[in-house]
Amino acid sequence: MALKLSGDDCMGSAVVGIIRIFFVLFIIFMWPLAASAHEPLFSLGPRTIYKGGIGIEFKTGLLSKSKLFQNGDEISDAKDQAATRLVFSSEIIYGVTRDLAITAQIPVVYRRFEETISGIREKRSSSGLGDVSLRSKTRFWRRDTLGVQESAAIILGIKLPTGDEKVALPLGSGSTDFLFGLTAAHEGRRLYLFGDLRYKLNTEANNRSQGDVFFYDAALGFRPVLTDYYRPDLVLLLEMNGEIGRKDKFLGVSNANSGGEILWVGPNFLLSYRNLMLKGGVRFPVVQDLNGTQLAADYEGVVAVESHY
Amino acid sequence: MMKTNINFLKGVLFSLMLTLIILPLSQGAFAQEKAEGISIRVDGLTCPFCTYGLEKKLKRLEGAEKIHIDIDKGIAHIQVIEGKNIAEKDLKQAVEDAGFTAREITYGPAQP
Repeated sequence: MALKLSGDDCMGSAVVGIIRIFFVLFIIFMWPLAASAHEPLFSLGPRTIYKGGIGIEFKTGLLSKSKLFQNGDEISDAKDQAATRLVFSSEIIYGVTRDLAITAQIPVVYRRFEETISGIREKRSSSGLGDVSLRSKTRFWRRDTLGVQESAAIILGIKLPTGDEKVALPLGSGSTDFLFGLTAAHEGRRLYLFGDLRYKLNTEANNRSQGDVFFYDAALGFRPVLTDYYRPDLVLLLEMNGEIGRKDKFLGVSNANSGGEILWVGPNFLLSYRNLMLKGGVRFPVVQDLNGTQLAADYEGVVAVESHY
Repeated sequence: MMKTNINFLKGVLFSLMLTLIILPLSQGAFAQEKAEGISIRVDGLTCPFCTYGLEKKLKRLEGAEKIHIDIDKGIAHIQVIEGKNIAEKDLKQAVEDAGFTAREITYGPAQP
């Protein structure tokens, strides 16, 4: 792993190095976090699984890109390019304490890319293990009242370079990357409010580095019917996800056709019965202010099943 | 030798009497923890999926027979096995480990 700057020219390399070492030590020695329960699909809420609890989640995500954007505006694409990324992932969650949970995510990725060159439709695809990641969630504040829980948590994560980055369509970044963030929520019987800020710190590998990404997310949830504990429970969410990505670099030179800003909006549902939850959602980009010329997203969808034991 | 035996018998009799006096008193002292049912006011219950952890933690308590949870009222009711006790501190710890806050605990008859 190369502890080198990948995206932010303003930050000193020593500071970034110290931060990265801190995260590695923190994850190794404290190994805290997890995602679970009622929380948005494309971001993370502060709730942790109960002490000693084990959660298992199987998730399928599909990302489709087929629009060509240049400096923030859609342009016609003579090659009619289309990219698809399908991810099947398994997550294991463990509650170390009531306020500390860890999650291991193991993804299997299928990528496909199509384009028309000289009138012939070319298709390429890759599939295999993606980048395995470990996350921790440490709830540092909680306030309980009748039918309401308000809480906040720190998120730390590490993504390992387990996916093959040398195939035609890379299945991983090839780098060890880090995630840290802050999440808070107001969870009530009728309404849910979530918000988080996350920063993905990407490192360099093979002279190449993906730009760091800053995420800002908010979600509003609503339970249309107040059912009791022994009946199925449905929560509907409207989620908003913002991403600000820095430019990728190769041999220290920025790629003009990378990075930019995306704002997603979409509906989710969470349907649970006791310790079993089915969840799904889709999000659409309402703002895509991408640098240079890039293939932009059409939509992203997720379906998942989670169970606690 | 005879005197020693008499003193020994006196000691045994005294111990027996003491036991007979203390035992009922101690049972009286813990009588509030002997009940057929226990109700706990729990704050922070918002959804059934998250509440599952509370049910699991309460079920693991020695003496707990059946659990009934009313999310809207924020009440967890435990039906206790006859002759068993569950201490208040264990109940509070179970609620905390589940990620919620225990308020009032009431020992009383089991709910129908």
